Amino acid sequence: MVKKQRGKITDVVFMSFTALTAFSIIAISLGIFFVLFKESLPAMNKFGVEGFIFSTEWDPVQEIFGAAPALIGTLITSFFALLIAVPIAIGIAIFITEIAPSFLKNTIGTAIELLAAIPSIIYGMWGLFTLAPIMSNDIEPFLQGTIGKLPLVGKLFEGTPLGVDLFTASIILSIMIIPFTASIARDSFNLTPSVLKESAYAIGATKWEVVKDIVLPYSKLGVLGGVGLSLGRALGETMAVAFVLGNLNQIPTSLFDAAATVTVKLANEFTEADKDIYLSSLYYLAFLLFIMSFTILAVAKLFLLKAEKK
Amino acid sequence: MILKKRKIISSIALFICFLTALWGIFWLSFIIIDVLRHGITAINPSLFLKDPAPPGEEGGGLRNAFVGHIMITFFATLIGVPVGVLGGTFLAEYGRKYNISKVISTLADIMVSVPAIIVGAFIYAVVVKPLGHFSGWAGALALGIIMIPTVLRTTENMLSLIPWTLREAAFALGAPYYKVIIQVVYRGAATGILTGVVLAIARVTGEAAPLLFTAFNNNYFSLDMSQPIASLTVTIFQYAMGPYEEWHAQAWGASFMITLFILFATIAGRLLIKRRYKD
Repeated sequence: MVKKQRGKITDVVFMSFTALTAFSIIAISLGIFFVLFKESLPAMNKFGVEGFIFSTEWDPVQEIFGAAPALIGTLITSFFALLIAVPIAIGIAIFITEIAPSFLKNTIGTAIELLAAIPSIIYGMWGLFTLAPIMSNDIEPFLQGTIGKLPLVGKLFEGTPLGVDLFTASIILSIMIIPFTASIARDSFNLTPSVLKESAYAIGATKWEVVKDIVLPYSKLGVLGGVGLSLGRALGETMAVAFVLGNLNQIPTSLFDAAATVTVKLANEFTEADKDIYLSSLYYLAFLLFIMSFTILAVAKLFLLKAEKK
Repeated sequence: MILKKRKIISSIALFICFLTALWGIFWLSFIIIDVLRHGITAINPSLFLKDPAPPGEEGGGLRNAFVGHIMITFFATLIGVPVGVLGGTFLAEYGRKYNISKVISTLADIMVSVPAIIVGAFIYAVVVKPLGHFSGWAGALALGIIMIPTVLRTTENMLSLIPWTLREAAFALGAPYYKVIIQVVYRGAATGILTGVVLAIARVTGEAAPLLFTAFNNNYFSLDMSQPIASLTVTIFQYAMGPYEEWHAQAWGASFMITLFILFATIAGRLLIKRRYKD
């Protein structure tokens, strides 16, 4: 009897312990939100919301801070990275699920996922010492000579190709986020009922038509979720971008301009911020980044949950 | 005629998909080969056994960063793994019927992808600023927090895979729930949880952003976790951006070691789980 009761007490203790640790996730999330908010209050009071987001000034000496260049840098690099990565990731998922012979499926799947395992600092290092020179010597002059000659689009490719610019950063980001979309798209493709695919084949559809008209529409929610996840990752990527973007506080007009992102600004200036308002402005940036990436990741997760239910 | 055209379109589209797979593999091999090529020439005993020489001088190594990195990762694991495993246990066992568990599990999924530098900024505000100085503990705490959601989610998934009949059999013998969990459920899910832990360690080993303003850096050898401490990743950032050839070579050497460790851990983790859940 006594032993049984002791077991019960231990059980309650163990349960409370596990519950406490599970709730730590909520505590951490809320903690991050409130701490970042509290730390950015002085900057919020001084510059306001619009006054901060749309201002291009970043002058630590005169203590005037605006987020526009960093936010725009973050949005541009993430946008171009997505533009390149999403079609490629979907192509890879199609290749793995529909085309590759079974002995290749796992190997290629693992290889692509290893892209996500390589740390971002390695991407940055490689980007600075290997990719940037190739970009500035070969690829960027080549692009200027071809696409750069076109009207309108050509504007995007103006300037001296230094290799340390938005273009190189976006390429590196695009490589890094491929695995996130690819693995989720692959899982969603695999969920397509084979009866659906077989009936399409039976009426004479080609493989591509099955993929385009059956598999892709069926799994679009999952794929969208994967894209959202990639976007959330791209927004918050720090070290890879820090190496190849130059941390230049200006609104870029060409893809071959150096720029800054929110994360690069944080990484470079956080420990240098000697004044309270400087540090607070950096926290304001971090707070905006947290809100942005959290919202996008949450929406992506909702899509994925919906896709799962289907 | 139309059929032929459709077949050609299909082949072209599928060929493009094949090219996208090549694109991914191309970059993977490019990066890995490049890191190996540059790194292998920088590997020598003094990289591991000597501390940094003054800037610009020949010689020296990264002993301080290797030791610091191992210490930070070790303590991060001590924080992240127990919290993650126990939290995952609650979600999969005691709390599986409550809605709050689903909320926590979704939140954890989101937190897995939240920018690591944000966690660094958070720890700076709650640990570094009040104490007045950077410290190894702050770095370990930041990495630990990054580990928690990953470990928690894997644990939850792995525990849910254990069939309920197994638990019921143990209940029928009169075992209290905690004993069932520890002696039956954990035992069955051990490989899976271990894999999650290995992958989480592999992930935080490569993190630099959260260490920049928590553990900071230290040019001297130190075992004191309450003081700033060097880590490989922050050192790579500092050395690669620095002007000296010698620094660049050492940064490649450090990158080589980190990449090797992470690739090894990731592949080992995948093999482990494949073996366990073959069927």
